[in-house]
Amino acid sequence: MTTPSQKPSNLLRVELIIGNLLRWGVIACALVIASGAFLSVVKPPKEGASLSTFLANLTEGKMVEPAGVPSRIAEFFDVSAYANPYRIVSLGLVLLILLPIIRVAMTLIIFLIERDRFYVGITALVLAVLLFGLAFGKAI
Amino acid sequence: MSIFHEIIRTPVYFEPILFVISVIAGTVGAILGLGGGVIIIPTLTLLFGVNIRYAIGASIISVIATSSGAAATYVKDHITNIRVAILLEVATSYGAITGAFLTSFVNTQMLFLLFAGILMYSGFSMLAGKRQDLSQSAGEGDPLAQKLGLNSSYPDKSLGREVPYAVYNVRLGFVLMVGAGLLSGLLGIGSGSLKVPAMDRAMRLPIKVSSATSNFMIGVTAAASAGTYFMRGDILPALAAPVALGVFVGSWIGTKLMMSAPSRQIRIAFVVVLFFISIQMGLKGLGFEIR
Repeated sequence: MTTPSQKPSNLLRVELIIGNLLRWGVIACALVIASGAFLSVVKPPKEGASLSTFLANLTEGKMVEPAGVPSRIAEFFDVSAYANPYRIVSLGLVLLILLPIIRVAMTLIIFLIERDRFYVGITALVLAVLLFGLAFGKAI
Repeated sequence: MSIFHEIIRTPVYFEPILFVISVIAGTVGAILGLGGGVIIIPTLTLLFGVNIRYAIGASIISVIATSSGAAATYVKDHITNIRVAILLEVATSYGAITGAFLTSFVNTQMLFLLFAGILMYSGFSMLAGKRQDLSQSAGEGDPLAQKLGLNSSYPDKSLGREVPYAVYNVRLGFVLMVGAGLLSGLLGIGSGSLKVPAMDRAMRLPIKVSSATSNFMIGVTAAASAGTYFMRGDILPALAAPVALGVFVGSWIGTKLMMSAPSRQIRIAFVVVLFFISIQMGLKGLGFEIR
């Protein structure tokens, strides 16, 4: 892939750094989700309903355990809960949701390093609304 | 619940089929700058008979996964215009938050019809722009674009060379993105289908740059509301896992295809999908829910 000759070199550098970070983030996230999925097949949780029952109940909008979805963030720090492989998958999904936010934060840091004040401000605005959405999303 | 749904919603069918369809959704999404929800939601609700709230949850995962998967490649290969993406993202995300607040005050059915109309118009508008891909004179862009450093170039594999481009109508693009964000916040749908036409027609970005930049943006917008859906329990591991993994694979394939495909084909494919989404939204507006 030829490197665009019309782009300033600092922008090219920025793109490579962000691109690599994104790639590793995706791989890490995929590994967590995949291991949880794999474990759920070879070592399904003993308590709660089976996957078949779970899926069968999905029309009415009812969630039958073991869905693996915590009701509070604090529950992610309960290590014993990870015996349920669906909880591992849930962790991977949270990681996935955080990826774009990490992406914006990385972009902010890099604009800071490049001393591009205008874009630091712009990126900060985006990060602010993202964090607001995460924190107060329930109220919406 | 029909017999068909009973059979197909057993793990041995459900997970593999959902995975394969997610690969397709990820591929299409990465090529066109969309999130894949337009494939995932009908699949879950019509094919599998899953409740709409879980379908929407899975769709949000699909959008973020497409965005993250595609962004990694497009940014590294210098196709995404990060400055345009971040600048426009201000408009979209504030629009989306505002839209989400206003949901209870607005008649969503009318909005679906309006949305369908806008998509239809965008589709025809993009067809008219076919000639743009063949003429490669960049021009200088509007003064604001120059001041903000938005003009750039990208390597086009299908042409075998680097293509310089300039950005126009920055203010108009910004306003359109507020609108796109508002609609997506109000209706709870992805906004890629509005972002790409706005960048393509109003701001005159090459279609590949529009698609890659849209891919960068849609994940950010989706992440803002994903937290809510997750805490509500709408994102279920049994559904979201095959979707996420399938979309990761699909978006990787999609990025490879997009970079070597001729721009004209991408544009036409996008318009076809746009019309398809427009019909889907129109039906919703007329009361035919895909429950």
